[in-house]
Amino acid sequence: MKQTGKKASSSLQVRMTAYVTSAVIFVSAVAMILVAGRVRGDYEDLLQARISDDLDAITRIMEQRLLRIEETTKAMAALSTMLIDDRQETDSLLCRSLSVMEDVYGAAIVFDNTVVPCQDGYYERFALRNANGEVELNDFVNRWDSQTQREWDVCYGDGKLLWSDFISEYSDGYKVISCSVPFLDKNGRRAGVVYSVILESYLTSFVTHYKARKDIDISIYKADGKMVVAPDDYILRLEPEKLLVRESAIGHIGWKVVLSADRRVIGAKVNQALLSMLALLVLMFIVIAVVVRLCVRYVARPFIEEKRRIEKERAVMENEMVLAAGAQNELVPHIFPPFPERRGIDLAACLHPARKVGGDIYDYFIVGNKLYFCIGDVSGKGVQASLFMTAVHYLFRSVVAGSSVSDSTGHMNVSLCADNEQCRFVTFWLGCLDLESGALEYVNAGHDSPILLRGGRVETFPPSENMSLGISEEEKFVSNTVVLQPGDLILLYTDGVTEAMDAGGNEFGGERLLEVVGGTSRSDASGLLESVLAAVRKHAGDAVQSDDITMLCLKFIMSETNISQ
Amino acid sequence: MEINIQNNPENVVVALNGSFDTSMAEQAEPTVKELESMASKPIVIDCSALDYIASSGLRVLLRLRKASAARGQKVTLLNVNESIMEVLRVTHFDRMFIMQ
Repeated sequence: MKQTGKKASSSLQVRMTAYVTSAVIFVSAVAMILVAGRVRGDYEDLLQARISDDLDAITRIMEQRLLRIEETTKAMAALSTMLIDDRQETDSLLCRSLSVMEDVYGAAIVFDNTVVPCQDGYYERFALRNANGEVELNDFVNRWDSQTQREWDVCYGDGKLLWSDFISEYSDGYKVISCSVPFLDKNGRRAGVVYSVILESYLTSFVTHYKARKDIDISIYKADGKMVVAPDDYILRLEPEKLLVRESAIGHIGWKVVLSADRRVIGAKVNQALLSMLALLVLMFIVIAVVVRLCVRYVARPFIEEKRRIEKERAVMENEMVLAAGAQNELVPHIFPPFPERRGIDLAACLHPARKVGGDIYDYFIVGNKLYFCIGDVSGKGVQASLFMTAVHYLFRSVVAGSSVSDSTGHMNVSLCADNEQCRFVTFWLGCLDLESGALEYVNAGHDSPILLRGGRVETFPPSENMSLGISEEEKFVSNTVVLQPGDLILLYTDGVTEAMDAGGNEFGGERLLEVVGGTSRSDASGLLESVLAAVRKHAGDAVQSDDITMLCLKFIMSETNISQ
Repeated sequence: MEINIQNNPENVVVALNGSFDTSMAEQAEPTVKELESMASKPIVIDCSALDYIASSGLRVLLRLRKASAARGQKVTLLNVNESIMEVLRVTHFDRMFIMQ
C-alpha cells in the first residue's frame, strides 16, 4: 500500500512538473512573440544609427584618400609640363610620385602624338609597383579603344581631371580605376595626360577594412550609377523593400557610398536571439525549480521527520491509553450477576471513562455473610488519576475485610496520604452489608450521597461527614448504619452522572437523577442502571462526555436467613 | 481561567478568575509550582471571581495548603461564592482552610 502511494505521488509530481514546465514555456513563448516585433524594431533603429555613423566615417576617409590621389596626380601633371623634354626627369617624377602615393598601384604619363609620334595609338611611360614592392618603369604603345578614346576626349579635350568610368582590366589581370589629369607643354599646348591607377582590390580591401559589422554591406557607385565596388551577392539581394539603406556622396567626385542591411537577415537574427533567450529562460526555470525543490526537501526534511516521530509517538501513546483503559476495565468486576448463588441480592455496576483512562472506581466482594462494596472518584483524569485509582482499588481489596468500615477507611486514608506529593485524593463511599440481617454499615468520605429507592419512594442518604481519602492522615472516619428492607434499591454514583452536560453546558443534575430513579419502571439493579444511563445519554446528546460515568446499584431482595427458611 | 499573583511583603494574594476545571489545573501546573515556592508567606486565595471548581482544582488548593503547612503557614480562602462553598462543605475542605 505504502509503495503504491509513493508511486502515485511521484507520478503526480512528474505530471505537475510537466504541467508547470509546459505553462512556463507557453507563457514565455507568447511573451517572446509579443516582444519580438518591438525588439526587431529597436534592433533596426540601432542598426540604422550604426549605419549612419559608419557611413559618415567611411565617406570622410574615402574622400580624403581620393583627394590625395587627385592632388598628387595634378602635381605630377604640373611637373610634367616642366620636365617634358627630359625623359630621365619624367621617369624620376613617376618613381617619386608613386613612392609618395601609397594607395596607388601605378602612375603613367601618356604623351600626345605631337610630342611622341605613334602610329594608330599612343605612347605612355608607366611606373608600377611589382610584387616585391619595387617600382618598375615600362614603355607602352597602346591602341585606342572606345573607352580610352572617350576618356581621352573628355579629359584631354575638356582639360579636366577625370576618374575613369569603370574598371579597366590590365593585361596582367589587375582591374583598375584611374584618375587622369591633362598637362601642357611649355608653350601652353596640350602635351598629354598624367594618370594614377588604383586597383579595384584596393577599394574592396578598404571597404572590407571599414565594414563595421558583418550584417552591413558597403557598395560604392559612381555619379552615373555605375557600381565601383559591390558585395559579391549584392545584385541578388537588391530588393529595396527588404533592405535598410543609407547613402552618402563623396562630394567633389560625386561617388556614392551606400551602406545596407538585409531586413530578413536582421529578422532571422532577432528571432534566433529570442529563441536562444527562450531556451535560456526555460533552462533557468528548470534549474531554479530543481534547486528550489532540493532546498525545500532539505529544509523540510527535519520537520517532516519530526512530525512523523510525533505521530508515531502519539499512536504509541494512544495505543497505551487504550491498553490502560482496558486494564482499568479489567480491574473492576464486570460480570453480572456477580454472585448468582446469592439469591438475596441483585447487583449491577458500570464504568464509562470520559477519556480513555478514567479516575473512577467501583468494586465489591463477599466475605462470609458480608458484602463489601464501594464507589470512588479520584481527583483529575488520565493516566495519573488511573494509577491512583489502582492504588485505591488494591487497598480496598487488601485492607477492608475483617475490620470495621470506619477503621478500614482510616487505614486506606493513611496509606493514600503517604508520599502523596501531588495531593491526589479520592471521594469514596464504602459499605458493608450484612446479608443475613440487611444491616448496612457505611462510610462516606466526601462522596455524593447514594440514593435509596424504597417502596416507590426515593430518598438521599445523609450527606458525608468525612473528608475524602488522601488529604489528611489525622482524619477520623465516622460510619453510619441503615437497615435495608427487602426490595430496597441503593444507587451509588459519581458526579459524572449528575454533572453530565448537554451541548449547551447544562448539567443533568441531582434532582433529575432522583426523578429518573423514582420514575423508573424497572425494579431490578441492571434495569435501574440502564434507565439512568439512558436518561443521561439522552440529556447529553452529541456533547462530549466530560467526566467518567460510574454507577453501582444494589437491590436487597431478602435476607439470607429468610432464604434458608 | 486567569490566575493573578500579588506577592506582597506580608502575604501572597492569588486571585482566581473563571472556571477551575481539570484542563485548567493541568495548564496551571507551572504557576502552582511557583506558588508552592512562595509558601513561606501566608497565601490568601481570592475566590470572588471564581465560578466553578473541579476536583482537580481542589487538589491544587490542597497542594498549596500542604506546601504552606510544611512551613508553618496557612492558606485562606476569601470571598467564596455559595455554590463553591457548598462543594467545600460537602467535601469538608472548609476544614482545611481559613474561610473568610
